[in-house]
This record gives sequence, C-alpha cells and structure tokens, in this order.
Amino acid sequence: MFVAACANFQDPDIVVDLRVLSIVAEPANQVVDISASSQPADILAQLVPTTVCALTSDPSFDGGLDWTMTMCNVAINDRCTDGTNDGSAISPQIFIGSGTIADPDTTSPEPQLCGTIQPNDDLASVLLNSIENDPLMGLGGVDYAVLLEVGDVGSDRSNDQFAAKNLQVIPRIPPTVTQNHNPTISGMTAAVDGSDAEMLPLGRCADLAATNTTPLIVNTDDVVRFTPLEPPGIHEVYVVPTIDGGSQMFTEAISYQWNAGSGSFSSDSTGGPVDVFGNTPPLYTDWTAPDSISDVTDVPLFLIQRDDRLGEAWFEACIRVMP
Amino acid sequence: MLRVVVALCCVCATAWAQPSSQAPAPSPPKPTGVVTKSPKLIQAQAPEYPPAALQAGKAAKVKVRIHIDETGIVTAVDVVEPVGDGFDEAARAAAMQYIFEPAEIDGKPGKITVETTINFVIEKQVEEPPPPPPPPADRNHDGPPNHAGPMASPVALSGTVVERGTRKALAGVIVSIKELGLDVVTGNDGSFFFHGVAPGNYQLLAVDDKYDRFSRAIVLSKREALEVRLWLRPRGGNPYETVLEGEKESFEVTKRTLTRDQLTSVPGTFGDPIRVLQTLPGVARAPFGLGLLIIRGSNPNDSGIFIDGHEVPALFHFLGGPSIFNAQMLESLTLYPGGFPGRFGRFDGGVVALETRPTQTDGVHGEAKVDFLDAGGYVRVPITDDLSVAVAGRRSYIDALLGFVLPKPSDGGERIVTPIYYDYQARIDYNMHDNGRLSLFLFGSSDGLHVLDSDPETDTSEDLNSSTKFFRVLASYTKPLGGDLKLTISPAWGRDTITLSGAEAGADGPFSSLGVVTDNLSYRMRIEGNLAKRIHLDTGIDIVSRVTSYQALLPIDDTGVTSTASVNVPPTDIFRGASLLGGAIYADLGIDLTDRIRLIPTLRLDGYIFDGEYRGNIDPRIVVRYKLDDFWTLKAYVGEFTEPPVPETFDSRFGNPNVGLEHGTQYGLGYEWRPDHRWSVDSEIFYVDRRDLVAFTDAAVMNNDGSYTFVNFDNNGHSYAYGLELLIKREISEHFYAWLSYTYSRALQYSTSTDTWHATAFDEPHVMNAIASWKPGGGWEVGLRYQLASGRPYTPVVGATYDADAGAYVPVHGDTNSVRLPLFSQLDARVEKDWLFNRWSFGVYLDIINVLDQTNVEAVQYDYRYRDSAPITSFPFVPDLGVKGTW
Repeated sequence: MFVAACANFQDPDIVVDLRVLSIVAEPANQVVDISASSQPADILAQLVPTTVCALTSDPSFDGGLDWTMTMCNVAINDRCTDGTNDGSAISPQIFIGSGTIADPDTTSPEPQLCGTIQPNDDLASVLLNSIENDPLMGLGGVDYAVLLEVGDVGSDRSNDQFAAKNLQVIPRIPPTVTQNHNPTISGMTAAVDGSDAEMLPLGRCADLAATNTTPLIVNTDDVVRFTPLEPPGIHEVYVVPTIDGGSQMFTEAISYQWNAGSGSFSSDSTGGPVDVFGNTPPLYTDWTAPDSISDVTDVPLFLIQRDDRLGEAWFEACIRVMP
Repeated sequence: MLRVVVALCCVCATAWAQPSSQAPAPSPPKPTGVVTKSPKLIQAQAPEYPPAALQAGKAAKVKVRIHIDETGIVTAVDVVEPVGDGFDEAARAAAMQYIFEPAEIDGKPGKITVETTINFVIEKQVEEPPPPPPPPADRNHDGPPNHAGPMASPVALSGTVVERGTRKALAGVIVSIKELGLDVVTGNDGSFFFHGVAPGNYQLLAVDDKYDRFSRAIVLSKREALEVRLWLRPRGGNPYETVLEGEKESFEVTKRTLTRDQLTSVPGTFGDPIRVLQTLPGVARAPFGLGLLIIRGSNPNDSGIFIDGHEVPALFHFLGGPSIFNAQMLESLTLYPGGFPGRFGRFDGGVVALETRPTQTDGVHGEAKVDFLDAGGYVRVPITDDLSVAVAGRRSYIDALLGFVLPKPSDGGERIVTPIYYDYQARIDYNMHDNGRLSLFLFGSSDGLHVLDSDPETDTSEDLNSSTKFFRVLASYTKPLGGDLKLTISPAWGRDTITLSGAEAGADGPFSSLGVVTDNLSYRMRIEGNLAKRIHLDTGIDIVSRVTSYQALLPIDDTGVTSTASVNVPPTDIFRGASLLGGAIYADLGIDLTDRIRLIPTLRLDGYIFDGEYRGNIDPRIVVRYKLDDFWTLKAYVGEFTEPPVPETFDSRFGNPNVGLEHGTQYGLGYEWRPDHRWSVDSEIFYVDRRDLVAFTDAAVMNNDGSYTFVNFDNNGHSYAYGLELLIKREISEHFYAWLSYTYSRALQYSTSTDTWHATAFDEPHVMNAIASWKPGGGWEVGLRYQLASGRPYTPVVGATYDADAGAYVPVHGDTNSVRLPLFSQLDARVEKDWLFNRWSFGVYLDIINVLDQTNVEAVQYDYRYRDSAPITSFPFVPDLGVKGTW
C-alpha cells in the first residue's frame, strides 16, 4: 500500500546512444513441402538464401560499427551461447558474417549491415537441432535465431549491444499455409499542431542533400501527429496448424514502433491487435519537438513495422526543428 | 423465633503459596512462588451451630486457616484463634467442605493457604421476615458467600461489582464494610448483599487482585435499602488490552497461540492481532507488507488457514491491508509451523488455525474503531439468557484518499482508481446447557478494484473491474459426551469468487473477462477428550467438496504454434470446471507413558476424487514429548503431510488430469524451557522435504493420430527447507510484555530446466522480531517492534538482448535466485492513550511504521534495456492515527 517505486530512467523512445532498432529478414519466412520420406536435402533444396539486415544508430559516437552475425536455434536471451544455461542440448553456432560499417547516422548512402544465410548443411544442422528441442517436433514451424553483436569501432567489446531475430522454416501443414511477406507502408502523414495532415517525406537526415529532400520543419515544442498509411492487403490472412490436428486462420495485426533522436512520443507503440479492453489501438502517435535547442536541429525519426509472423520493415524520416 | 446466621468472610489477601511437596529441581532457577491467581470459593457449606452455644445464646467469630490443594480441594483447616464452645470444631468441619477454584502459582495450579472468618450469630426474630433478597445466580447452598449480616434481616445494602469500561460483572470480589467487619464475596453475577446493617455512615471497600482497590463512602438511611454499583478499574489500564500468550496445551509439538485480547497493541500491525502471526518464529517476512504466510520456506499456498476447522482462502485484505476478521470475534489464533495434528490436512507447509469466540449474554457490548485506512465496529447483544448475537464489519476508504495522490490524467481525460475492501461477521450462539451449544456463524470478505482511465489523445480508454470475495456459513454443535469426551459437529458452506473484466469506458458489457467461482462444502465431526487418565483422544472425519467453475471471455491463442504474442484473436467464451471431493478420517492419540513422557501417534487417511479420478494417501505422524523436570521439556516429531494439487492443474484442457498428490515429510526436534512464570524459551530445529510438487512443463506428447497434447503440469517439483526457530518470551504482566523471535531458515528447490538446486523466492535465512510494550500507567501504552531480516533472493540480470521481433529487450539472467536484496531493518512504534469511563472506554493511538524512515529494498526495477536499475522500496515513514471506543 505504501511502496515507493521512483526511478528516473532513460526514455526508451529516444535514441541517444548505440541501439539496434530493427532486424529484417528477406524472405520473412519460408514454407517447404514435406512428407514422411522427406530428407534434409529435400528440404534444403526448397529453401532460398535469406538476407538479414539491421537498422542501427549511435548518436553518441562519431565513427563506424563493428558487427558479427551468428545463427543458432536457442532462445534469444541466450545469445547463441552453448545452451548450458537452460539445460538444452548444445546448439550449433553458425557464423554468418562480420564486418565494419561506417557511421550509420551520418554516412550517406546508408551503410548496409547485412548477412546472408545460405541453405546449406550449416542451416540443416541448426534446423535439425531445433526440431530435436521442440516438443511439437516442428509442427507450426521450425524456429531458429540470428544473433547480432554490434559495437563502436575501437570500443571495449563488453559494451557491445546484442540483438536477435527469429526466423522460421514452416512445413506446409495444412496445405493452405502460405509464406509471409514483410509488411510495408504506402507513406506517412504529419500534422503539425492540429493542422491538416501532409505527406511526410521519407528518408534519412543524412540523405537529405543527396536526395534533394526538404524535411518537415517544425518549431520547438510543436506537436506533430505521425500516421502511417497502410496499403491494401497489408493485413495478410494466414493459417496455422493446431496441436489437435486441425487448423486456425488469423488476420495479421500490424504494429508500429516509434523512435526519434530527441523530443518525446505520446505512445511509442501503436497499432497491433485489439487490446483486452476492446480498444483498437490507433496507428498514430503524437511527437513533441524538443523545447530547448539553440541551433537548427535535424531529428531522425525511426518507424519499425511488424506483423504477426516475424515480418518486419523499417522507415526513416527527418524533422528539422527550428529554435 | 431464633434464626441462626453464619457469615463467611474470606480474606484472600492473606493467601500465600505453600512449598511444593515435590523434590526441587536439580539446578535451574527456582520458582518465585508468586500467586498469579487467587483461589476462588465456588461452593461453601454452612456450619452447624453448636447446640450448647445456641442454647446459651453465645455468638462467635472463628478465624480459620484453610489449606487448599492444586485441585481446589481443602486438605486441612487450622483454627487460628480458638474460641471454644464447639465453635472451632463446627467451623473446621464446615470449612473442610468448601470447594475452591484452585489458585495459580507461577502460572500453574498450586497449593495455597487462605484465612477466613466464620461468624456465628443468633438473632431473635419478632416478626415475619421481609421478602428475601433477589436470589443470587447460584444458590445451591445455604449462606451464600455473597450475603453478609443476619440473613433474616432485610437487605440494607446491595449492589453489583462491574468492570470499568466493559461493564462486565465481576465474580469473586471481596466487598466489605470496614466499620462492621462484614465481608462478602460477589457471586457470578457480581452481586452482593448486606443484611441488617444499621443506618449510618460507612466506608465500602472492594478488593480483587486484578483490579485497583476501590473505596467509597456510603450513607444508609432508616427508610430504604441502598443499591450501589461499584466500578472496578483493571490494573494496568484498559481491560481490552490485556495480553496473554502461551501454549495452552502440549498435545502438539509446536504450536504458538495468541489469545483474542492479545496483541492489539503490537507496533507495526495497525492494531491487527492476526498480523502478529508474522512476528512469530517460523514465519518469514512477507514482501511489501503483504499478508502472505510464508511458513518454514514453503510457498504461501502450501499453508492452510482454518477458521473453526474449515479452510478459508485468505486471511488478509489485498495490497497489504488488514486481516479479514474482527479481533473481537476471535478467541484464539494458533500457528502450527510444522508437525500439525491430524485434524488438519491437505497442506504440506504450516497451518494457521483461528478459533472464534462464542458470543456472551453479559449485556450489550461493542467496539468502534476509525483510522486513516478504514473504519469498523462490533456489537454483541443478548437476546435471552441463552441466546446471543454478535455482528461486526469494516470498510476501507482508501479510495477517497487516492484522488489526492494519483497523477492527473491528460486534458479531457479521466482517471478513477477505487480500491475498496470490506469484511463482515455475524454470529448467533444458543446455549442448551446440558444438551450442548449451538452456533451459526457467517463471515465474508471482499476486495475490489475499479480503474477507469481514458485518454482522448489516443482515443482509448480502460475500464477494469476486479474483485475477490468469499464468504462462509459455519454451523457448529458441541455436546459433552460421557466421561471427558466432547463431540463437535460442524458443517460449512461457502463460495469463493474471483472476477476480472475489462472494457472500454461506457461499454455495455465487458470485452474480456474471467470469473472463477468455487463452491465449498465441508463437514467436520470431532470427538475429543480424555479416554482414560493417561490417554487423550482427538479423532474425527473431515470432508470437503470443492467445485470450481471457470467462465472466461478471453482472446486466447491456444493453437500452441504461433510464435509471437501479438496475434489478433477475438475473445471467445470459455467454460471449464473442476471438482475435488476429499474425505479423511484421522486420530491423534495422546498417551502419557509416564508422568514425563507423552507419545502422540497420529494417523490420517485421505481420499480424493479429482474430476472423477481417485487418489488416496495415508499420513502417519508421531510426536513425543519428554518432560525432563518442571522447567525443561524436550520434543520431537516426524510425519507425512499430503497436499492435493490446485484445480487448474488437473483440468483436462489447461492442466493434466494425471497429476498426483504432493507429499512432504516434516521432522522437528526441540525443547521448551520455563525458568519461571514470566519467562519462557521455545526452540526447535526442523527439516521439511517436499516432493512430487506440481510444476509447469512445456513438454508435449504425440497422440496416435499425430496430434499433440501439452503435458502442462507434472509432479517433478522438489524442494526442501531446514532451520532453527527460537522464541524467548517475557510473559504478560501488569505493565510489560516482550518477546524475541528468531528464525534461521533455508529453503531450496530443484530446477528441472537447469538440473540444479537454488534458493526459493521466499528463502530468508535470518528473520528476527523483537517486540516490547510498556504500560507506565495513566492509560498510556508505548510499544516498539524491531524487524531484521535477510533480503529475499532474486535472479540477477547480467545483460540484455534486443528482441527485434518484439521491439523490446529481453534480460539475460544469471543463476536463479543467486543474489539477495539488502538486509531489511525496520523499527515500528505505537503510542496509545486510553481513557476509562464507567460505561465505556475511549482510546487514541498512533501507529508508526518505519519510525527511522529506513530505506528497505523489496525489489529491483530495471530500465528498458536492463542497463540501469533502481530499488523498489518498502514502507517509508508511515503514521496511522486512529481512535476507538469500547463499551
């Protein structure tokens, strides 16, 4: 009744130092046909290479980022370790790639942090290991994970950030199972202080000059309502098997995560499924421009879009705040 | 006509203890020989007037010294000042027939000697005697002790002695007219009568060792008798605050009993005696001031709460609120941290047993109490001499205060938070005398929370209603059987209800909801008493039926295969049900093998039907107590204890119908040391092995048709606890009480996922409570409580990984429960002032939690990526001011 819980933590919506904001896999998942006589080679033959790319930012560091990407099957909080923490069988650790990218915030064009998973024996070993550890033996999909470790060039590796993304290979059970596609938007609108909404030019602050784009210009303390525009068909209908041998159909709910370089959001997550109170969450969020700047400041805006089935996409924009 | 009058004057103030005839103890401190309770005359015999003296018209006063044994029987009578003429012999013969309620010396029945004067008076009656005085409550004999003076004479002075504040009639009080040397001992109804006292001025004196000496000047006139009421003030202040703690019997190895009146003054409990349970050995400190009972490292739901033998789901209101029971309805509270007797079962932790208080027919009494959090009251009313009713209730008003501290909603929005708790009790008692006693008791509790929050900026709103309620109706019939046996039959019925619903503000109905209703029907029959001089029996049957129904309107994705939590699933109606029927027979047999050794074998046979599936179990237990001498007693026990799984776990859809019973084996070894009547030490080491515990599992099995079934729960859980408990008590006296309790306890559980043992969430190695309360007089009472406890264990976060699919960080944990929160240290204080009036008392109290405003950490919270952390602290300095009135 009298418990005190006061803490002044950093606002998660505002990116002030090294962050991994999104990881997108293309294709989002893969569907394979299997039969009782299917061999791993038969399944591998149906798979295509998967490209995994990450969106990163580090406003606190002028320089590039070192990264390493690994593949394994264990839960993401284990970071593709040897699996001893949870008692599961040791998972194969498959190196996907590593490298250094230029400063992700100031470099134009945007440096790519991507790795590619080839449908080879390494992937097969991870998938088999995942099946062995799945109480449903792969019914509904075989999950595996990609772990990204990223850090500022030249910094202590103990300060690295870790991020993980699950990927799926789904058996076509029932036959109506379909492949997922990453979501997208047809655009985004911005309405400043209650004025009429206008289309917001998409593009990174660092790319403004290269693309000859004029960013949205606002004053300090202005409130801007951002609304993503969803194209037709974005909410895919999909079917999943149920453990009792049947199937169930769902319609994708699309959710949005909002981040910016400064200012504040009324809500950092919009869209998504209807909540337990029956509210259909709005897609928009209200961003309040920072109130104490002395110079013209370009504030990056990040929008991460997700669906139910591990599909993901990111979009960037730039808002110029006048003092 | 001559009338022979014999008056008895007991002068108990001259009573003193006799030395014990037993051999003195070998070494430890000797008893102090302090008379803690005076003998009370319960049956007197009028002496025969010596014929010769009567013929000669002689009168006399014979002062005698009466020797009373520990059972209240007179063993010898000495004439202190012989007067001759046969008076001495007559007085001795009569006094030999007296029967007393035995005195207590050092808190135990003991031998004592008292002096009494027996008056032989002859009075000539020249006219018809006046109408007899009102008959005293008990006059099975001539010359009742509450009459003095010549019985043939009219009553000149009569009255009643009552306790100040409570108006309770006081029996056994000596009332005397100093100038005449006349004494009476008040009857059971507090009445006294003086016959034939001549008009004049007198000084009336009333004396009792539990009350302040009372003196009052009176004037008797010629024309009419005087009737007075004497108000005696309890020594040490308010009679409602008298305190007594002790182990009433030693039939069980370890039980710690608090009596009803006890401990409403313990600091830090807001005057709630049930909260005092949490200060006893074996009970760990509950986090956040919650009312959880964490006994010997067990989870709170492994310990049972029984009211008059029937299980109830909770003892405290939510959010660290008070207990659900008015202390005035309570007779006693007993904590069995382990090794509990056979009449309790279906738990493998500890047991808390509340015994309710039969209502009295001693007038209209009540209590009202108001403080910052809630207000409540209690009233009891006699309907007839044998029928009485009592009702009590309480309601919180935290909701009215929350509005001042909650953050304001956004412009145009609305925010309402309404937590409300209340409880109620009503009881009827009917005394059928030789045919037994009948009672009907209704009690219940409700905790509700309503949250309404609307945000016009996001065009969303939340209307949340949650409620936890229960009630019980208990009937009880108690009847003495032949010999020393007593039969109690008690059926009970009740319902536990948990509801939760969510909707948008202004919606017609809930969008999602959950309702869990459990109908409880139980029946107990108990026969208890001494079968023979050395054999005590406690046996009976214990039947319970629980039917639980679940009704939900929830967006449940139970496909079992979707991989994210954001699936858009419309709410669907879900109806489930589970039933448990349990029947048990038990027997505790207390056998005094010798004067020093008591053996208590117990057998409890339990049978269960879970949704039609039978489970059975036999729990043998044995206790031995060995009384080394008058001061030291050794004790030991070992026993099996069985607990059925909760209904959710054997549900065919969400649980596992094959889940079995949980088992525990408890071991204890200890001693009790009572060096004198004021001090006692009780200590025990224990070991508890709990196995076959129901635990969640994500395993699935493939059926023959290729489908899968999740196992959900199995019996692979295992835990154990061991430790030491120590209780040092300074028993209640007129002005002071204190105790120190210390528990060393470790509780560990097995993790199937990591194949390791780790501390449970409730593992607190060191828990100490020191409590002292002092009544300096003048109605003041000052108390302190100091708590010192190990911090609870928690699992550290050693890093975090950003889950790109959820957009949130996932903590990377270290070893489970491998680090601890800081030491908990808190000093509480209570100051109370009572004003005692003739018909009622009034009190003001200030209860201060955490006087020193010590920062105590109850949990750790993290920032969004688990890089920074901050403590969640417990009570800051919290004063609670309240007033109460009792009449």
